[in-house]
Amino acid sequence: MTVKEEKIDNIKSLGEKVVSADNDEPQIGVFVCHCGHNIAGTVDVAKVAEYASTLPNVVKAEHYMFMCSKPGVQLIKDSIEDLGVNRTVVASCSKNQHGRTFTNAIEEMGLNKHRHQQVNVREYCSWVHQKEKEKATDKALKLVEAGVNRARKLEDVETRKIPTTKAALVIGAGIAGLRSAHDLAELGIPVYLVERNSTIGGHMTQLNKTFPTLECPQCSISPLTNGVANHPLIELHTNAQIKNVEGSMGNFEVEIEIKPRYVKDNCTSCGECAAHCPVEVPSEWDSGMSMRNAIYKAYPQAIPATYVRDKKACIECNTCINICPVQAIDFSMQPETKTFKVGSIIVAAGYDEYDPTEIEPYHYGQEGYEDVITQLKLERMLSPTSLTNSQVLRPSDGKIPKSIVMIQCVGSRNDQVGNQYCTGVCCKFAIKNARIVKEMYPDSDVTICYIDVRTPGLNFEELYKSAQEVGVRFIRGRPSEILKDPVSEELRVIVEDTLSQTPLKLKADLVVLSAAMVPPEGIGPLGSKLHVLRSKEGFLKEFHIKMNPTLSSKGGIYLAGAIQGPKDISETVAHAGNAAALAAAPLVKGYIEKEMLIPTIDYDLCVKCGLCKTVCAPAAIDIGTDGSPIVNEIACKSCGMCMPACPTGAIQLLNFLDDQLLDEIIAVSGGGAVCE
Amino acid sequence: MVKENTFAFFLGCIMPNRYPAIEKSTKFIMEKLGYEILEMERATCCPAPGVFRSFNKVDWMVAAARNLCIAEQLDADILTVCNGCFGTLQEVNKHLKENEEHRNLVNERLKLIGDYEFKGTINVRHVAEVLGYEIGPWGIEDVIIRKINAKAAIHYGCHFLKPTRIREIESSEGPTIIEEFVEALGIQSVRFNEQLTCCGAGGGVKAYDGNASMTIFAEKMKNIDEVKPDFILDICPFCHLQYETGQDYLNKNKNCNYDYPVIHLSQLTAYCMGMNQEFIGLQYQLMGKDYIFGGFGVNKEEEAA
Repeated sequence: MTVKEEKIDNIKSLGEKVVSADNDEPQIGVFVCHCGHNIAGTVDVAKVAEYASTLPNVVKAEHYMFMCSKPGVQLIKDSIEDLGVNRTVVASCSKNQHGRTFTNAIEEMGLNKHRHQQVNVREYCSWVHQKEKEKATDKALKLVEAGVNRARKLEDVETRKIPTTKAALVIGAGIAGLRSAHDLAELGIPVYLVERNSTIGGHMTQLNKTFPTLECPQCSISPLTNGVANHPLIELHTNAQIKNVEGSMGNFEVEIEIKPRYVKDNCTSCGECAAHCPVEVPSEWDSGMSMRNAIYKAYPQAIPATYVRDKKACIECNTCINICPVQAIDFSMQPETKTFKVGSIIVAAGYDEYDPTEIEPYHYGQEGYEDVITQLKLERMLSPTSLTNSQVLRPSDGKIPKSIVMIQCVGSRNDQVGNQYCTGVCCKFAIKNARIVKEMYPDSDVTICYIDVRTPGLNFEELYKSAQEVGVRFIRGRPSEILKDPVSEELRVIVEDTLSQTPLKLKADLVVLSAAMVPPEGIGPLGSKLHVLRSKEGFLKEFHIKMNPTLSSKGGIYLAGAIQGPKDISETVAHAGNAAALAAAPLVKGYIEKEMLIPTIDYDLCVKCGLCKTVCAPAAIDIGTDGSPIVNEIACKSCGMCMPACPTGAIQLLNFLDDQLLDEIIAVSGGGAVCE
Repeated sequence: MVKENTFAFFLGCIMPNRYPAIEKSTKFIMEKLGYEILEMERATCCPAPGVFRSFNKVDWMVAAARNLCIAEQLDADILTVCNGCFGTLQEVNKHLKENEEHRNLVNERLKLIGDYEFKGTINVRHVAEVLGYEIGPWGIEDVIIRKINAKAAIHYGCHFLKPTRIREIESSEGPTIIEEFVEALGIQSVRFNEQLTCCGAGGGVKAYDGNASMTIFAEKMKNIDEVKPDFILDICPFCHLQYETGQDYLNKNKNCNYDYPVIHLSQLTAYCMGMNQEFIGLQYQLMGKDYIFGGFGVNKEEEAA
């Protein structure tokens, strides 16, 4: 017996097993697409179709110019109606491209959509072997045969409708969280908005102006903060953190812990308490550029306007309790926990400004280097509510700096600190601030040291040019060091102008570091509570960088704004709006459709080792009380990672069973890979 | 376990040939501090970390490993007074301890030149680190008999601290180990511009391109001259040589008039511990021949050696 005959025999015997089990004789239709010249220009499609017609169970095999066209799809439908085809194989492009087109077609004809097998002869054959027509055709023959083998045993998979909870959780109330929460509420969905800090608004409220139009960020964001705070469908919890998240897409149960403000809601925000508080600590909201009291409101427009007591800083002198005209202050308040049920979760946890302390040559934060600050601190100095009355003053002596040097890419594009990525926002805010400062102090020198100026998109190159026009100086070079001259006590920025190859020592009265955007503190624990994956940079990982940058790695949990990666405000708002739309869809519809393409566990074979749980990225496998794994049908993403992990083969994914894959491999390998 | 309070003294090349006073000073202080100093017979050049490694890294490791083996046979940690020797020996020692593949390769080649096998039983120490951390400013206070009231421009050099992930001593961007130690000897350290950059000698620059070496050095001296120290304090004979001959060169060729004494940390410490000024050997150096430390006695009445 030749190898070929032996192979066919094998297939037959394997095929018969299923037939007897299913009592459903496979009738396979094979359709080979020309895709214009894309496929037919290289692969001999007629030969492929002819070969397919000789394969067992194939009752129809033909080739056609465009299978995705209406007449092409009609061919499939006709074969089902006329010939009783009950499994289809289309050899064309990828499953992602047109798989949906063909599964929809067979579904219309009453077949379960999982009975379709897509074979990719375009990317796998014609495109990669354009100069080897014969080999490309041979490969197509094998792939089509493998597809037929695979189709033979395909089983129906049920699609189940699961009712969803019509409510959403939004984590983080910066610009991203506010936008998402407001958009969801406008769609009629009740929203729980949870913010870690005592006020909402996030980093945007700290800024002086937004690029490229130099608008006032408070003016832009306050309609939204007010809108969210007063929206009947939004329940806002500040000073609150996520404690636990259970459940999956469509139905989550969330537990949060709310830390006490120690000030009751009848606070009139009169400020008497803070005025008499004897304790002063650096203000977090002001990025350390001013002091706040132990009882405080972060900033004048803060929402909620209720004051808050910093228990760690407080010396419990009780002055505030006695002075409060409405007796709103109560030191006995306790943390409380709340649970609620939601259908979707949006994570809008934002970012932190990179702390440049670890870059030692810049001496940031060291004694004697008080005049090395970050852009956020400069924003705070410039802002209308600043301690310096919106003037730029050197922190060391309060004088107006005559020379200001800005350093780009501090913590970005830097392998030494482990951040390869470009934050993509720093060039824009540095140019914006440089222009503002230069316009305020035309006699001062303002210099930006950059590696590359990255200002793509509408309006940003114009911003760059406008800064050049007012006299901001740009030097291409990454400074190696900021030195304090031991004699004159002045700061010197050591940099090579790489365009003229000149080493420079720039005198600097004030050095401003354009620090990167990095994942926010505490994202690790939050990520693990949500069971979502993180990128190597530490941000939360999106489902697909191009086609779905908003969904997280787990169904039902969406990402909004900088938590997915550095973004400016416009990008954040767009991203957050998209997150709201995606999160709302299953809640508005009322149910989710879930294909039950999920693994089954043979508990006789299972040794309870738990390996399947460790590899399950969406955390869809739980361990029961007796140690056996249980598959969460809703959370499962049908990725199949658990199958190879299982040492005993106890866990098997429907339609990806070992014998089904073996059938496929036999055809591709020419039968040589069979090992019994 | 290696012998306690014992060092195999690795002399290197420059010190015994040009500055024997540094060798004498080092032996003086280490013995006074209660260490036994062993001679490393048949020790060779370290070999220099810049030049040799750049040409052939494996043979560089083999030659260094041979020196390490001599100390292993003496069962004592190596003591060096030179940044270059420290750079090579410390790095090769650490690398061969961690990298089995290279250890086997080096041992294969060592067999060809005699009874040597790298075992990785010892550590390599620099005198600045022994004084700065092991004795420490707190410990030296008890054994010095005089202090010096002077301002010193401290030059760390390169290989003592860099690369920090291999040396694991202290950050190379803002070190304080020597400042803190010499403060106990009465010395005030004066900061100068670009203090932590190279003297211009290392990496083969001095031998290969003297002009480039002097350009770097001239900048260095300009920065030091701005702060007018009493002397330059270094921890490496090669830097020492550069500061000595470099000042001389600048005086003769570039219309300079420098005369800053150049003093190694061992010389300074030995003086404070009682060694006579004449043995410090400034009179045999090119610069600051007439410089007098002018120490003032502290606490103890002890006869100078």
